Amino acid sequence: MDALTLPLSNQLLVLTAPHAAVKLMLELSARLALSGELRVLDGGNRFNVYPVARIIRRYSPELTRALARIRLARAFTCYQAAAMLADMPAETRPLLVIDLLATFYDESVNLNESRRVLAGCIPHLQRLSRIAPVVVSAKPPAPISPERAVLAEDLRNAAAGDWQLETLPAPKAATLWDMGA
Amino acid sequence: MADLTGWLLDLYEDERGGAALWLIGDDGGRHRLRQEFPVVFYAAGERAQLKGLWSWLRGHPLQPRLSRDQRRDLFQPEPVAVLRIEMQNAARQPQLFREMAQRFPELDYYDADLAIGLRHAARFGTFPLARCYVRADEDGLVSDLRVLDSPWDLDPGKVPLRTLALRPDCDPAHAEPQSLIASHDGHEYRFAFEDERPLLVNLRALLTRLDPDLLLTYNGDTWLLPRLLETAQRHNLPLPLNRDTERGVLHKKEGSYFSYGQIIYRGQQILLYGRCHIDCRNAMMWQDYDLEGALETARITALPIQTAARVSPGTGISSMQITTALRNDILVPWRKQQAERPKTAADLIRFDQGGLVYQPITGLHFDVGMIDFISMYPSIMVRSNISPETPFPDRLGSSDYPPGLVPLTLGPLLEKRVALKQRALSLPTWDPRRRMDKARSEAHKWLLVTCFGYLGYKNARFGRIEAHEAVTTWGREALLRAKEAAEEMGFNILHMYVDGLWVQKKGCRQPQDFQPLLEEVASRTSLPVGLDGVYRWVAFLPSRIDERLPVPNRYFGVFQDGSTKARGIDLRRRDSAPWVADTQREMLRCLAHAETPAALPDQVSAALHILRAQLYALRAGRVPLESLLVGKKLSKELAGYRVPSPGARAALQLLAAGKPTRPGQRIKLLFTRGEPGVHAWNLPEAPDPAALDFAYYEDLMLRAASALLVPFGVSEEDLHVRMHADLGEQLTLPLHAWNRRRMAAQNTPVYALAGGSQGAA
Amino acid sequence: MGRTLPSITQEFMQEQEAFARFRRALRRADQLALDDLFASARQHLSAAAYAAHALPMETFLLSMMLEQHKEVLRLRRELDELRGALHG
Repeated sequence: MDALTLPLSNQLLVLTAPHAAVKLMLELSARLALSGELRVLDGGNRFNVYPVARIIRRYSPELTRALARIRLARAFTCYQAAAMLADMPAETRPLLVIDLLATFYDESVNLNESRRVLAGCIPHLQRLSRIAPVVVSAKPPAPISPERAVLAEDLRNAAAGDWQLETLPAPKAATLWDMGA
Repeated sequence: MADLTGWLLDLYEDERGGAALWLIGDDGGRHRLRQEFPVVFYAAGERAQLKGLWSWLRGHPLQPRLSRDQRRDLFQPEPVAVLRIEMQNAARQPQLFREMAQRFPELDYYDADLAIGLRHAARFGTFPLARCYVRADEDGLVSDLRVLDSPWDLDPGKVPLRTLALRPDCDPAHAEPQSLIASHDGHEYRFAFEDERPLLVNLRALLTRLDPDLLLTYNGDTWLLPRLLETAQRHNLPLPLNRDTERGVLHKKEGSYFSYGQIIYRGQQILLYGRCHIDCRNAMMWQDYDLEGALETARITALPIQTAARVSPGTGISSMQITTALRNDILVPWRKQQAERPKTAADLIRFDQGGLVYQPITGLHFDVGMIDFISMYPSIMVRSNISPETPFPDRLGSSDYPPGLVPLTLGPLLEKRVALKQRALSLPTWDPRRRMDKARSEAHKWLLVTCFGYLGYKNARFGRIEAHEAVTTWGREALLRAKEAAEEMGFNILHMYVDGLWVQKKGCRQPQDFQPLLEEVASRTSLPVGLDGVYRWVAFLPSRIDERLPVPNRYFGVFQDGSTKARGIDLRRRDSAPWVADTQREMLRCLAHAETPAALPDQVSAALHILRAQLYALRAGRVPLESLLVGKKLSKELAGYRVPSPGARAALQLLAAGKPTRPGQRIKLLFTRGEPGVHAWNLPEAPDPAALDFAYYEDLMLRAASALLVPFGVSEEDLHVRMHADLGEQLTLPLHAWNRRRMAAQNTPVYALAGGSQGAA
Repeated sequence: MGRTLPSITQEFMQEQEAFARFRRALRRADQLALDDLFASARQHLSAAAYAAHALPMETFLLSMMLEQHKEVLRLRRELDELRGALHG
């Protein structure tokens, strides 16, 4: 992956990276909040607002307003994640799903069940991506449960565009993001 | 037909259908009864799926009764259309549900995985040790059951429980036990393990003759009972551990699981029918409240006595909520999937916080009042009506809405706690009720402390993150209002911590002097608030690393009545070496003798004397090894350690000796010189007392002692110098001050210079 | 269990760490003075948490100034007392 250009188009993009590309997703949230509203589903309890606020502030003094444009909800179990996606109305605001698979890797839910629940989520992700950009980030499973990698595969197969990052690209503000002419 | 009154001992599914009940009769008999008890559960969801389930159930051999209904789901505004499934045979319901959930995983299930005791409690108001009236026929079939008392009674009548205690003569983890010790009513019997047949015969006779209600063991779950059962099998002499002869004992496997970010180890369990087995070593909160507390937990949560003794307070709270829900016709979801409603990023910063934690003004302070809110979070939950289905409260201490599930559940518990606390203030010290009240209060305390965390727990059936956040929000508001009240009334605030404040005002020395402040705080917050006590003096400690940095919740002090209180120092930590903790405690007691500030310097000298004596005893080899044991918990599997911690190194030693340890288990170890630096306690080879790392233990002790002495002007460095000076090493004084760390790193005892042996082994 | 954001103390240490390079290049005496400033800000972490500011560093800087001003007030008082003692 060399660049993600803004504005994003209406499709389902999946980013797989070592730590679910959290830093990148937070930066993306900040950039999007500068110019419009967005929805965030935090699947791994990772949405640290502080770096987002710092990035926004670099570009604009209207921090409070920008932060108000980010509407986020946290899922602490895979069932919650599924329910949230099912209940989400399709609309034009971009949707960022951070670390979706975290709750699906939970050992207390067996693998078949996790796959079943994820399979229920995917049609909703696709539905939502028809009229809005949907970016989903995921990390690979922990080394002690390699069998769960199939969940990441299931997710990638559903995507229109899918990127796997071995290492994150160094953030170069000028080249990584094209703010548009 | 017989009319019986007595106490309910045990309740479980009867294989023939319905509930099996064991009643301790007023007539002294133990009656095994059966009661018809159909169980009901529900399914909801997409129409086509429900229809499929209906047809499948129609054809099912277990023949459940089916009907349609509308019932209330706490998380939905409108009642939910459900398929109602009723089964006459409660014992078969779990199996049916398992099959159902596998075939129709898309559906939502309610009331599907509930313990029979909770269902029975919801319908009849029963609970373990409830006083009941029962009418039953000659076959023991119950036609009428009425409960005569309540778990909320302050003084439940004494139940004539027959108890048999069994324990091995030593800790099996440490050495091979030689005999079994059985005791009851002051009689004690010893049976050698190697004489297996006589042991079994005698134990059988004892069980049959005594017919105990309660089997109290040490290591019963993990070692004793499995061993006895295996021995009984080999000799073909079955042990009548169960009273219910139609059933075998229940074996539950061991395991480690994650809870609140910590890994918890649960040993295997042996559970009985008709009789209650409690393993004092495997009981969850035994350290804190022993048998009376466990029985109180069972009463309040309606969980069977054996279960209540073993499970965490979280399970207790969950059970209470389930019973309340059932009683109020609220569906109990099988899996929680209620998700958070979206909030803005700015809101997240505001609400994702805990209690207010202030930095104290470090140092020594005199005549300090400690005011705290009584059970703050539970009180807020009840009074502000915080529950998953109620709106975010707009004020403290009251609500316009009818009470939600959570306040309905907690209300009676909170009332009982407050009532017992108030009684504790007025009961004379010789009153036998004091001990009972104290044990029961501990049980209440743990349940109440857990209920707030449970509100935010991801797997809690009736949890909701917004409710959890509402509690902390109003908790912060309450503390700030208390602060404002104190400041307006001229008090100096020394420290604040979540639900309490330490205040000081010239002329305020007696509890009465703080009364106006208490009233003002209570009036501004509408929450119960009390005076924990007035400290003669209290010391707030700074950080060990940087003296400029105050540390919250790390202090010690003496109340006016001479009792001491400490937080955040070694004597409070479970894993501290007893030698260190006991010495610190002794030093604190010594300091506490100072009745006036002027008397303190003498007490400080006396405390130093105690310290000196203990350090000397260590070097002289007079400190028993058991009191030098430090506890460590394994936080993960051994393979997960890149660099083995002392705990991991000890675990490796145990593994090599054939004693594997699981994550979450506590290991006791001694620190030794050289490699590997530790000696695990339960190894077959006894540790060599001469190999102890004296320098390390000295360091531990001096660190603990300096925590007590820093507020009195004695720094950690000073302490080192003084202690070593007293042991005659004048030459090493300047060397010591500069090289202490270097020496410790090389693991060389400072007294290598003194030469000779370090005392007799 | 819920907590998504780092605690105010963790956030404070991050902000302090962000100035590590600046600190390194300072003279030793200045480093100690800087450490004092940061330590002083720690006195008010609870207020910083309650403030729920999106940019907590601003609250930390304000806390440092607060402590500095307290010191100024204290010195002024001491000075007045000394003056009084001198002329009294």
